[in-house]
Amino acid sequence: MIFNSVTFLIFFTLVSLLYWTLPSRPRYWFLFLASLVFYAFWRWEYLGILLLSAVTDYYVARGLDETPIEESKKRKRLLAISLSVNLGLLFYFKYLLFFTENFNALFEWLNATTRFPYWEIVLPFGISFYTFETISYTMDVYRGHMKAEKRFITYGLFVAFFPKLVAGPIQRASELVEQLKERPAFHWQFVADGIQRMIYGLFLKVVFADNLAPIVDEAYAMDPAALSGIDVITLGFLFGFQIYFDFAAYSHIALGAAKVLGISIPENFNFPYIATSMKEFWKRWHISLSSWIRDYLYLPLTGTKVLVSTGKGGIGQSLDNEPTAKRKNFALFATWAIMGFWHGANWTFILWGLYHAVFIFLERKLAPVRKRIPFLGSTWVTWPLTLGIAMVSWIPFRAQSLTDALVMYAKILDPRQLVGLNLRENTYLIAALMLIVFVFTWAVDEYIRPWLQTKPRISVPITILQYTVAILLIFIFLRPINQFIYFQF
Amino acid sequence: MKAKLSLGIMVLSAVLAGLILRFGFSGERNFEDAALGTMTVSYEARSIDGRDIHTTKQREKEIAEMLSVASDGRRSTLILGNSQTHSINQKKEGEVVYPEILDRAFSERTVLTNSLPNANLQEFYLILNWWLETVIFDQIVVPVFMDDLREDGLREDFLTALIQENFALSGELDDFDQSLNEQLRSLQPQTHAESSESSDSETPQDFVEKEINSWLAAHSKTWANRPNARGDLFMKLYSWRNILFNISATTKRKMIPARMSKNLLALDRILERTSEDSIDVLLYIPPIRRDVEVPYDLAEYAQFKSEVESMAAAYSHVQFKNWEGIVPGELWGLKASTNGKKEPELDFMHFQFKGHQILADSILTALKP
Repeated sequence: MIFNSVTFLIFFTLVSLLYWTLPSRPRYWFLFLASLVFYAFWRWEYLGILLLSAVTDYYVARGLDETPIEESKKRKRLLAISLSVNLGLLFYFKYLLFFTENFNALFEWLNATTRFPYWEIVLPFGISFYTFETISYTMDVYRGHMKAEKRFITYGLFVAFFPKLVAGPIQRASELVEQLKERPAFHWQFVADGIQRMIYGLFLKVVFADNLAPIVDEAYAMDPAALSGIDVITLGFLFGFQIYFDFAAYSHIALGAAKVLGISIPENFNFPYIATSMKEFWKRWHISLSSWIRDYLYLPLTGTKVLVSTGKGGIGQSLDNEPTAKRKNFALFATWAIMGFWHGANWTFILWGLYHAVFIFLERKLAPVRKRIPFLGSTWVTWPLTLGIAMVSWIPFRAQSLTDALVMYAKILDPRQLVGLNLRENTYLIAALMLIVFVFTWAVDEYIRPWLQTKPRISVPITILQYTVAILLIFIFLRPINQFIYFQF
Repeated sequence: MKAKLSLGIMVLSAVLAGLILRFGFSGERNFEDAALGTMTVSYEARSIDGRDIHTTKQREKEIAEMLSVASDGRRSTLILGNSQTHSINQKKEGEVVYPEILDRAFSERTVLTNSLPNANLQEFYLILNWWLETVIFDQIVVPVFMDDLREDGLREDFLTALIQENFALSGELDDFDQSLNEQLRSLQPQTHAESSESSDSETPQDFVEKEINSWLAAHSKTWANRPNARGDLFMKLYSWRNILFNISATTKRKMIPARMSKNLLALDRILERTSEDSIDVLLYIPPIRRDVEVPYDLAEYAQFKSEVESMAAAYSHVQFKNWEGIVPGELWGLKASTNGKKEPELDFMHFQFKGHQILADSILTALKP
């Protein structure tokens, strides 16, 4: 089910009412079943995959709990079962076609007659998200960061909880399971806070992301050879805003829906385009993924022992021991290549990941220079620079092919092709307008909102105006015409 | 803010939003006419016996009637066009557009017209290929507007029949054709609302959503009026943009090189296809208001005309005409301001009925009877 639909709004209202009406014991069973119905509204046949991943890790974790630390071989075998099932599912549904295509292309290039058959495989929504959650759960039990959950319903709800099932935030078991065990009592504050977040998320999705989508689609459908460097940068900004509004919207709705049900989900976005370095960008963008990657991939690759599991932060949290520079660099590039590949089975995503690795690497190397010349470290230099680097990084993410992405990057790098306006005038205007809207929203949130909160006489009418406009526009634009971009990952 | 106050604010906001929706937006309206301005109206040509011979939105009934007219056994001409073809400035009772004048003038020939506002030549190319699947034409008329070379992309509202029939270019296809087929495919219903990973079948969500929406539209005028409210909002945004940047009808429009090349490539494909099918082509630079300076960069406008002319010269079945100045200034009109000013703006695209007569006479002298 997609959030930007009337179906979801009706479903959610009914689920919330029933949830709070039921006694606390059957409440979670009801929520678990409602989550399965939510998923089945897309394709019920794929519920089996979700349950397979969930059930496997439930039993593996129980097994780990019952196996003493001294029996490390058995514990490793159990962990391997979890990883094989989850990564196997991911490989089959997400990556098999990619490898088939690439191996067949390689055979063709080698003039070999061997060809792998192409299978029609539909990617189950949310598979990248829920498999990462179940893996992290088993890893946490394996590492001794948490005990395995004995009640299947509590664990099952951690995996299938519908607000975050399809596109995150990727939640840690310890965070959700503890809340579920506490069985929060109804409070009007949950409803008020939750609905506010949902309105904000729906507004971002249906008013901004969905209306940017046709402009972005039209612009990216152009022949990249016909674009100038300025056009490419504009396209980077446009898609950067579209994907931000789209994905942040999903996260806001997820957080809001969970809040109405009395459950807190960690923040996933924090004005990422305000970042003054790429490292900071990843502490503000898709926070739950970057912290997952840090704890379960980057730190192990550097040889660092992970001591705690938390969904907060982002890549670059302090380490408990310092690995060598060589190992850190290897971990950085390997992590980012995998991070890119997680987003999609295409070379364009790997290029996107490596692009980020290069700039984070450069930031590390240039840190001493920035310290020596304070001007280079000032916000007026670092913010526009980071913004440009982050926006241009979206080019391969959205480009139709690796060739297109490289052609587009070449346009920026070649001074002879830098200037020229080949898009409609409105395209440039909208990109500029979105930047103004973003910075303005951040400034309001950072400076004006805290001040307003101390002045109820002013803040009440302003809040009424704000919600009237938001509800009005949501009503006018609410159409399930575009799925959330991150559904496909 | 306390919970109950927050919820109260949201309820009050929802009520206010409902009132604005109920009373603040216009009822059903034709946005195409709104875009044309109050002084110009759209009109689609009809045959002498009242059948449709002209379509802009490819409605099922229109296409069926046009096909029945085409099967009458007479030779057929296809006119492609933009809003100039289906609009009359200051229209009076009984006045018609040039395709209808031409249809009446030919006794042994049927004139079918497919025009679409802000048409681009990629759309023309697809529409021509689609028509050629069912009707044999021996001549076509193609106006090439400088404005239309700035356009790009395919619009589902005007390619309805192609989309419904899952039309695609066939034969030997190069990248350009394939890209047009891709774009068409993306507009077709089974893939339109789905991600690339989803299957082609309707999901339970699609089904339920459609049912709920139909029910809501049938039981709530406000819900049914949402597309008009969206249109109203976009018109307002368009107007605010014009006010902010002081854009008016006389503001010079720059050529967009990448779009121009793409559209000229489509024009070349039209000429190639008609050459293969032995269809005569009348290619013309359409009338534009000349009593004031044209809203283009003059050097770019000259370059555009010369490029179109040289493309026509490469084919023996193409007749090229430059009719930019044939409609005198007094036969043009004004349109309501699009940038908040009280005074109306000059209309460079749409002329009065007499302009249609002049254009029809010019076409008549150029075409075979």
